[in-house]
Amino acid sequence: MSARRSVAPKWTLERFLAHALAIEEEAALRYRELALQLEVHHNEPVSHLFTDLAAEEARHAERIRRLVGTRRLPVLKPWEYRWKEPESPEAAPYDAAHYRMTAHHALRMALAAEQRAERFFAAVARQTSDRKLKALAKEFATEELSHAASVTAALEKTPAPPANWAADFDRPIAQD
Amino acid sequence: MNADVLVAASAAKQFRTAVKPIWCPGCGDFGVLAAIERAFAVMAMPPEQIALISGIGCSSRLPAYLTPYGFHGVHGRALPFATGLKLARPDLEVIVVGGDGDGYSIGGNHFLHACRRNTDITYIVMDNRVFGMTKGQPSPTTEPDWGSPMAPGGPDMPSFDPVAIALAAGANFIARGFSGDPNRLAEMIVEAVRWPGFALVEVLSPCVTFRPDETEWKHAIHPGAGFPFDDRSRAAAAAARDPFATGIVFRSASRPRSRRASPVASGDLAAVEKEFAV
Amino acid sequence: MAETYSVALAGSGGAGVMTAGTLLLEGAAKAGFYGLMSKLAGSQVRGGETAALVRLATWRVESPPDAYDILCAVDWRNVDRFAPEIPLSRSAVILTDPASGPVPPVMLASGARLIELPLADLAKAIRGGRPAMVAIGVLGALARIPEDAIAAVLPKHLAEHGAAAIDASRAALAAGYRHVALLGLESGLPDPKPASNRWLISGNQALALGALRAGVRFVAGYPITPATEFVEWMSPALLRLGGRLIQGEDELASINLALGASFGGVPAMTVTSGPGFSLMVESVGLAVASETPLVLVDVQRAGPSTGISTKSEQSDLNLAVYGAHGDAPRVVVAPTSVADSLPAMEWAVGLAERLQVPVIVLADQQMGQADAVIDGLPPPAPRVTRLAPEPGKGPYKRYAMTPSGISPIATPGMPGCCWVGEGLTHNEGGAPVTSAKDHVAQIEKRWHKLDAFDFGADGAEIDGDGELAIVTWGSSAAPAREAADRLRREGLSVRVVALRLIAPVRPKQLLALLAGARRTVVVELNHRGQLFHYLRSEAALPDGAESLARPGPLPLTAREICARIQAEGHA
Repeated sequence: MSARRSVAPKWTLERFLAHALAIEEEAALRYRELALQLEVHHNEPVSHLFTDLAAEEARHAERIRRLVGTRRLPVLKPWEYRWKEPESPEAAPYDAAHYRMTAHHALRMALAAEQRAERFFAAVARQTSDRKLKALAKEFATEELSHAASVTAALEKTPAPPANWAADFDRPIAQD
Repeated sequence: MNADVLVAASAAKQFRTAVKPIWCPGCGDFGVLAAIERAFAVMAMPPEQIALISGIGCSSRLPAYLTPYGFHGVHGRALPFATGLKLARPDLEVIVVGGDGDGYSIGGNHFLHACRRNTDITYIVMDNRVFGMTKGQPSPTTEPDWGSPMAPGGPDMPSFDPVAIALAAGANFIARGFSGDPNRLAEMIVEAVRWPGFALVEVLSPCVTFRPDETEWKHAIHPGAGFPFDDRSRAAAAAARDPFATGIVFRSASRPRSRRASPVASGDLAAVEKEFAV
Repeated sequence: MAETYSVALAGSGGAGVMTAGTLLLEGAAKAGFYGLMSKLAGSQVRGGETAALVRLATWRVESPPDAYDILCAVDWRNVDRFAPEIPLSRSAVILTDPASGPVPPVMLASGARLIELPLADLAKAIRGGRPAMVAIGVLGALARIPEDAIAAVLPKHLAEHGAAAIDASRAALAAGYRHVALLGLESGLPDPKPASNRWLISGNQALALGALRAGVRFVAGYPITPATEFVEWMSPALLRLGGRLIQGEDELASINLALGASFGGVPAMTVTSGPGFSLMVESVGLAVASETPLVLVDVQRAGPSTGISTKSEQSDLNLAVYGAHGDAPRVVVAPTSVADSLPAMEWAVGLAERLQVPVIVLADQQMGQADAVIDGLPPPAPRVTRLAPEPGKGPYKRYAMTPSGISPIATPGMPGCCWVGEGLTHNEGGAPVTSAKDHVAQIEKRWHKLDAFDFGADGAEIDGDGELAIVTWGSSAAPAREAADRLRREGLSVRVVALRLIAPVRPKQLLALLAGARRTVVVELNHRGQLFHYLRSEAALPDGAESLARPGPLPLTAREICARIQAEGHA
């Protein structure tokens, strides 16, 4: 079982980029998965929103891949990443989804994700003494702030959910 | 740049089928699904060498969502099916998945004996403390005072404690996980699959539809102090004291495997038939 | 000369009657006789009242006699309970030891002749001598079995009791042979022709051996009478061939253990009796729906519910044919004798593998726990292999529609054709669906693959082409055939159709087999005629067909069948 890291390995550029790439990739993966879940449950508006969010994260991932270039990144096992939360910062937690969720809920999820990512990069910037890495981490943190700002802007344009947003007059249906 | 550097991505690509899960958005089982495929990717197992066996229930729908071989059988009988498969085909990696109702209610007897048999299979239970697929009846792990239409006021009997029962029945590897932490769960599953014998991974996996109260679990979950134990009674005491402690609860120090190795033919049919010749 | 010679040896309290009967039968087999041995027992696990029933002949006998020629008792304790199963005629002889007290009145009522045989005294004269061994000497001599033939088989059966026991038994045997001259009796059996290539085997063993021959290498079972000897013999035999036998924690586990092994590509089976079969029925449906090959042997016993575990009946046909909710067609095969149990099992395994279906084999306690001398068998037929997917045929669909209804089945480990077996209604790819089109298509497919299959001539054993047609199955076939022989000797023209394939029903074929018959009687050992009603409901019997049926536990005899046919007859 993984050691509870009391002494974490020092950040290297490669390790940092591996984390940065994972953040964007897992975000895209998760949004695509949520999009599919909501499509199955016939919540088209939010499904489409998640698809758009996934595409945005995929673009972020592509930018990081271009930055990585031909560098060899370490292949980390899922539990070897140094996230503060159980999952990668921008992977929206599964339990935040609901079949009757609204765009507002989805955007709040996205905002929280961007904020967690910003905190992650800011923390790396603090922890590392490598100047180049510190600068890069700060740059990424700023980037996340700007993402958060766009989401906030979108949120302001999105109506808040009504109090009974979750209500479904039909009872659950027994299956097997 | 190495393309598949991200395990989560390559896992989804290699191990997820096109079948769309019917689970409610918010279901803990999505986290378990992610954990399982990441474990497969980390272990670099070819899908055709894996078999996922399940019974009936929401969790039991899982095999169709992953690319390996699988079997979606009848309620409560996944463990004997998996045991027969593994004994006949020791070369395959056999994983059993299901819920608390399938595994501990109708499947309870098979659970006991699977712990005893110590066949090299891994049993992942998605425990949401309710019968979800049939609309919210209490399951064996439901709290005594959780009311429902089927049992107003609650089942009024102590809940089934799978970790305690597994310890008493002789299981040699027992882990407790949480669907909200798929990465740690993936790590546990890797260890469980690599364990040479029966391995139980009891996963707390909230049901968003019938147990919305379970969203609180994520605040209660924490790594277990002193885990893993190699002493059964200490493991039982620790697990009972703290039902939200996660990690490998018990791992036998001696790693006993089944004493009987795979059979090798030592004779032929003609020799067997001679017995009946007059 | 007598056609057959039937002896019953009774005793209690550990007298060793069963072993004695086995020695007699095996000695007779060595001498070239055919024979059949059944056993009777009380409810005690040890030391209860027991009887060994042995029927000998120079032709292959497979059914109990109408009546026994000799009843020999080591003692009479509770033997009267066996009276209905040891019918005696006026020409029978009861050999009784004066030391064991009076003969029960029910036995005397037959009018059989009483002759004294001082077994206890004869045995006492030998150190370690047992009355049952002396009795075998007497019975062997009466049957005109050479003494050496029985002596030769003593070591095999008595080895675990030590050399002294073998010697004592040899001496007791000799004492019995010497004593016979004093009794003034003769069997009248003709001398047997010298025999080679004969086997002595029980029904349960024959079923087990048939499974091994056909490639079964995984067996799961839960202990239940009268199937236990099957697993006892099978377990070490399987290990020698690299297979496994697993005792499940219950019957629900057992059938699923077997299904799991079968899913893995290993021909697998489970064995049970009525009560266990009832438990397994849900998973029979799973095997049907998921198209998983499986053989399920039901060694039928008297039912319903717990019934009589040690006695036979043919009352599980309905469960075998119909058991499982939904439209769940399956194959049901019924061996017609101990000898047929082996090829019937080979056939059943082949059908399961080829048709990807559960095949239920209806055996019964009477055949299962009887030892019979049979003709030795030819080497096994080539094994049936499952239809495998062809590479390069596009994405693999486990439940693909095909002209035969049989879909190629990939074995786990094969790359590029993973599939998930399903009990839920599924589409061709195996994904669960609720669509009417797929539900109906798959139901029709699973019926079609059985209905369109050519089961060939293996589906029935036909004997003659007479005007009186006897349709029967399982252990009723042997007494039915003997009855037919007797009726023919009285001038009737008779045919016997012993069905080996019970399901799927083949109305056209059966009606063709019965064409020209003026009277059809369906003979079976259950209360209201399960086979009769099943065939009639499927329009597989000619108009006016009759049912000759009664419950167990007493086996049908040729005499009873003749009497009832002639009493109700208009042929």
